[in-house]
Amino acid sequence: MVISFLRRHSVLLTTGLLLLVSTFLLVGNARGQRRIDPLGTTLLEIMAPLDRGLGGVRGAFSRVWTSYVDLVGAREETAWLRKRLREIDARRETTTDLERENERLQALLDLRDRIPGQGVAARVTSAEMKGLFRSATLGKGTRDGIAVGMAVISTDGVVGQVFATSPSAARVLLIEDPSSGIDAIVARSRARGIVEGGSDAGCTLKYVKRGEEIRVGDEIVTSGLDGTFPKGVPLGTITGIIPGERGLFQSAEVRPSVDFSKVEEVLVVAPATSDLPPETSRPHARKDVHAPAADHSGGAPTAPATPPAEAAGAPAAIDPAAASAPTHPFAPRAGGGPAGEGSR
Amino acid sequence: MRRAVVLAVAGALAVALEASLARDVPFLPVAPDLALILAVYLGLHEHSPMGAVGAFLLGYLIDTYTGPAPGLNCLTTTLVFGVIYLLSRRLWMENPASNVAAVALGELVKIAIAVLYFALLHRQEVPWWSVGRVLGLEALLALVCAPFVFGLLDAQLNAYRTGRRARATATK
Repeated sequence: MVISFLRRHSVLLTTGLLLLVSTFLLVGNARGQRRIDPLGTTLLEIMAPLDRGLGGVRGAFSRVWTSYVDLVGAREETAWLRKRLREIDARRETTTDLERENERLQALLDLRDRIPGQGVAARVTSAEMKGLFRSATLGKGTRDGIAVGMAVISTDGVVGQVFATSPSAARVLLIEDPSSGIDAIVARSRARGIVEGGSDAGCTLKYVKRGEEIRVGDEIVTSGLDGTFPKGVPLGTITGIIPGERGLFQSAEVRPSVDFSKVEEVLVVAPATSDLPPETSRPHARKDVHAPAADHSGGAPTAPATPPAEAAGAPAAIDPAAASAPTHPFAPRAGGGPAGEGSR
Repeated sequence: MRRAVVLAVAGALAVALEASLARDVPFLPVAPDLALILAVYLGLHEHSPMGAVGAFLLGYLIDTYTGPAPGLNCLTTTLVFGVIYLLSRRLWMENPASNVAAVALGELVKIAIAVLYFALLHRQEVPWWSVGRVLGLEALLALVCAPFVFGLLDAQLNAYRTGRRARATATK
């Protein structure tokens, strides 16, 4: 009967016995000082080969996993680095732009220091470089002290003359415009003439006495006699002599020293009669520009007040006040007198 | 005999994997409770004293490998075996859902024993939050893994049974 009971309940009895053993192990190990683990060493030894075998599998799996994680990490890092590179590139571009602007403004400040009288720095907000007329718009106007007739120059040379203003903007007639005319001298030979705009890009040096020597490459600067532009500001360079002209005067093609499409900041200066100080003139400006024009008294032409064709001799000196106060957007002929049809 | 070997190998593999899986697989916060799943399987299908011994040995192996408190896991697996054994004698538990429910019950037993151990026998202050988190994650993982483990064991043992039946028919 006992054996039958044991057989019938062998599972439960075994389970109970093992539970007792387990409880003894647990309580004994928890309460006692020594670790009670009679089969531990044996089981560890039995499991060792299996553990080593699994270790290889685990290592391979771990390497694959680590490689995968590294790959994912590398991809994310690459994306992050690319984004960072774009940010740095954009920042560098901004910095470069700011540096260039700073240089330009610094040059403009230097120019303002050199220019007699007061100058107003202004930003070119737009420019009309195509078509029949050449003009630009400045971001400052009468509120900032800009008035009609003021000269507009950049660090490279003469830009033009203000012909219209509003409280916060001003329009500038560029020297390339056909209506523009500025009293000029050839820096090397001191020959005088008028630089006029043309319908094509570029200007023309006109009304130079035929006896005066002009060459390709000669630099043309403002004469300062018109009372609008300071003396010695570069206008351009002679690129060709216009042949075959008869009469008292000769002409030449002039490439403006200012690239109007790239001008961003300009200096608007009030009409002044004084010259650029020689010691602060632009590096490329010739010194003799500022030297007294000894040969001017020898019949060098001033800005023509009357059409050259009608002039019997050397043109008379222009009235600066008249030259610097244009009344029509395309009428002013800075230093060249009124630009009406009769002026030519 | 082959059945015993299959179960022994499965037990050894389960213990080895459980002891090292969480360490080697970075995305697993804890290891699945494979030994407990096997104990449940034994309680469901191995109604003999050898089943109880197998469950005890599974827990003992885990204690030897990873347990800081020898006896905790063997007590757990043995008790789980006993409870599932008693249930399976009275209830029909031959479908996947009841298998998973059995594993869930086994996890509850394990949690109860762990709580009792920490409350009564643990000497240091008990980090209950950490204990609860680990036990909960282990239980969840066990519930996820249980159908696969059961399926693998069933496949192995059914193949053995089918072969034995075929041999017996051929002999007749």
